[in-house]
Parts: sequence; structure tokens; C-alpha cells
Amino acid sequence: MNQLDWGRVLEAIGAGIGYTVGLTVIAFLGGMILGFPVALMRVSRIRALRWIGTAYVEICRGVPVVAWMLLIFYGLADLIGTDPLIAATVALTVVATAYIAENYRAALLHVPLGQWEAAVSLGLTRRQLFWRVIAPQGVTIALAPSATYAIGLLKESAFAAVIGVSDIAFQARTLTQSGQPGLATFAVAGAVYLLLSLPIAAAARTIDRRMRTRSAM
Amino acid sequence: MAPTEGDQPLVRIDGLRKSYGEHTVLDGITLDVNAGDVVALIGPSGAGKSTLLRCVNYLEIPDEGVIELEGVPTAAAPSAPTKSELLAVRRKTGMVFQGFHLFPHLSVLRNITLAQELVLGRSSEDAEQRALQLLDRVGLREKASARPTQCSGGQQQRIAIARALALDPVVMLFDEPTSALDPEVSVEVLRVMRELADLGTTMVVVTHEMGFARRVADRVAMLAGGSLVEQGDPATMFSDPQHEVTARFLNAVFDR
Repeated sequence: MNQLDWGRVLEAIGAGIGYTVGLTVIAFLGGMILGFPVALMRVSRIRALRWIGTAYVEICRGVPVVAWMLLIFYGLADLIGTDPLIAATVALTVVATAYIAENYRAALLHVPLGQWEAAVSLGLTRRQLFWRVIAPQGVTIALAPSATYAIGLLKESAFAAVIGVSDIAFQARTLTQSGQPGLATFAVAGAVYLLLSLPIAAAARTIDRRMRTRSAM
Repeated sequence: MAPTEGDQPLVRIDGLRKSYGEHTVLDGITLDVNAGDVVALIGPSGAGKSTLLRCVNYLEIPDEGVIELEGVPTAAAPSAPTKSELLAVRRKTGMVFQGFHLFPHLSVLRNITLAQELVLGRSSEDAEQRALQLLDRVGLREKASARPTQCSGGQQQRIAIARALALDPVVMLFDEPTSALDPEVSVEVLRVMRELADLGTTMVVVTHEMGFARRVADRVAMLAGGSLVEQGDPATMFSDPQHEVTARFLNAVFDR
């Protein structure tokens, strides 16, 4: 059995961290931005929009992330080129958008009825009621579950290795292929994922605590 | 409050009916509220008091009947009010809820200025000035920049009263404003309501606070089973109720 070459393993995996973190951050921010309009479609009074929103969410959540990556990498090469990083980013963002849209939707529906009644009683129009009272609270309520979801996103980003993005998982696999011991190498990679997830978990808890005082929930 | 012409009531409710499926909640209610009067709606739970109050600003849509404000029907067809009719009636009525329902994402001051700007089109300076003046009146000026969640229940309800008053409504509607509060906190809310009454504010109050009804209300209306059983000045009704249901209800709440 080979001895683990710590220097080599840490250097390679360290080089992968940037890809893993970058992918996760971009997909998360993209999902936070694009998820809101999808959620609006999901709660729209217009049936066609509701249908489109539901179709998007169900399709994007129902197909595994790795399948999206392969589909986009091989299928859309003509459109977005053959850069695996771009394909992986698009795929992860597509899926994150669907999950975060559902967080927004649930949050919007969770704003208590009393908030609607108070706003309506003050004479606000439907549009004012939604944008001034419901939406700000909905976004706030959705922050905590979305931050928790970011941990899942960090781990799902490992599928990018399948199409050749040189992230942590890719570096670990390459190391084992060049003779590093598998168990130890992947344990180190796993530990790095864990370390990266801890600050996200801490942030999610802080947001959850703060936001409870800022919504009527 | 703007004086109304002659003897015309400020709020006139005539033949109001409302049912949820088979269940009749309001069975033809007729009630007038004169300008400057405080009317207390009392009765057992399920009597239809809150529904009646919520029909006045169309939070509940009545099936039949007429609701007039200042002599003008608030909707051509009360069972199907138009958007502009709804906005108009809500501009003229101020609603205070049992659960306060302040906007938790806004400061106390912003809670009171928001609708002034959006609904009445006041400048932010004017709205702020009015809000501070009202916060003074309810004794909470120091809470202007606080969040509602940093205020006690009694404070939140006083802020909710200021928020409703800020739109200068012709009538204030209170839906069990102290039922979610401890008795010692209720006192501060009831004091504010009493001061409003003394200033001549027209008020309709659904309440279980018989002490408040007795001391502050000009008239008490007793509802039971969706009907207006009787109404009159509080002293007379409390000492000499005309109907068996009223007597039984009063005996129960006064524990006599």
C-alpha cells in the first residue's frame, strides 16, 4: 500500500477548492435571483404562467444534477461551447433556481393572512400589497432555508468532476489514478467539503435567528 | 370627524346578510352609527360581531344588504364591490385587529407612513410629521425607529391604532382589540381608545370588555345567532336587558 503524499494531495485539492467554491457561489446567487421570478410564476393568478413555473420546477428538480451536466455539456456544445466549467455552472444554476424558487413560493404563502388583511384595510392596491408587504417578508423568510440548501449545492457541485471541471472531487480522482491511496485521498477531499460547509451552516443558523424577528412568523 | 348633514347616520347598515354555505352568520342586520358615536358590539362568540365589523370595510363580502358611509352606498352591488369601491371604502375606514398585524419588516414609523404615502399620496415629510404626532398621542414616540417585534403587545396595538388613524378615516373599526392582551396591558390600549372617543372619533368596537362598553360606549348593540337582539345605552341595557338572551349573556360575563 502506498503512503499518502500529503504535500501533493493538499496542493492538488487546494487547487480544486476555487472551482468548487466558485461553482457553488455562482449557482447559489443565480438561483437566488432567477428563483424569484419562477416563484412569481408559481403563485401567479394567470394559469399559463403557473403552468410554466410548475413545469420548470418539476423538470429541473426531477432530473439529477449530473444528468443536467452531461446533457448541457454534450447537448449544448454548439450553443455554449465545450468549456466544462460553463456547462457545469449552467446546470447547477438551473437546478438551484428550481429549488430556491420553491423556497420563495413556500415563503410567500407563509406570510400570515393578517398581513394581507392589514394591508388591504389600509387601502393598498394588490400590487402595492404584494411588493411592499408580502414580497419583502417572503424573501426574508426564504433566506434561511435557501442558505441551508447552499450546503446541498456545495456537495452537488462535485458532479462537475464528471464532465472534467477540475474541482475538489476531480482532483481527488486524478490523484488516485496517479497512485495516491484511494481511501486516504477521498477522506481528505471529504474533509475539505465538510470544512467548506461549516461556515455555510453557521451562516444559515444566524440568518434564521435574525429573520425570525423580522417577519410575522 | 366631519359633521354629517342633518340626522343622517355616518354609517348605515341595512338588511345585511352573510352565510358560509349552509351556515348563516349574519341574518339581516340593520344598524346605524351616528357621527361621533362609539358603538360597542357585544354578544357570545359566533354571534357574527366580527363578521359584521369586517363587512363594513368589505374584508368580508356580504351576500345582501346595504352599507352606507356618510349617506352614500359604499358599493352599487355590495355582494360584488368593484376594485375602486373597495379602495374608496378602505380609505375611509380604519381597522384595528385583535392580532395587531403590524408589518414586521418595517420600522414603527414606516408602518404608519407607508399607507399615507401610497394611498393618500402624502409627501414623506408630511407623512412622517403626522406619524410622529400620532405616536405622541398614543405615547410611543420613542419607539419610532424600533421594529414592531421590539415592542410589547400593548405597544404594538397602540401603534396599530396610530397606523389606522394616520389615514384620517371617518370611522374606526376595532375587532376585539384587547383580546390578545393581558388585562394589565389592555388598560393602556383601552385608555387610548377612550381618548379617541373623547375627541369625537366615530368608533365601532367588537369587545368583550364590558367595563369599556359601559364607560365609553354611547350605545351597545347585542348580537346573537347572526341577529341584532337589542341595542341601547349601556347603563340601561346592562341593568335592564329586554331580552332573555341578553340577560343570560350579561349574567355569564358579569358572573352574577
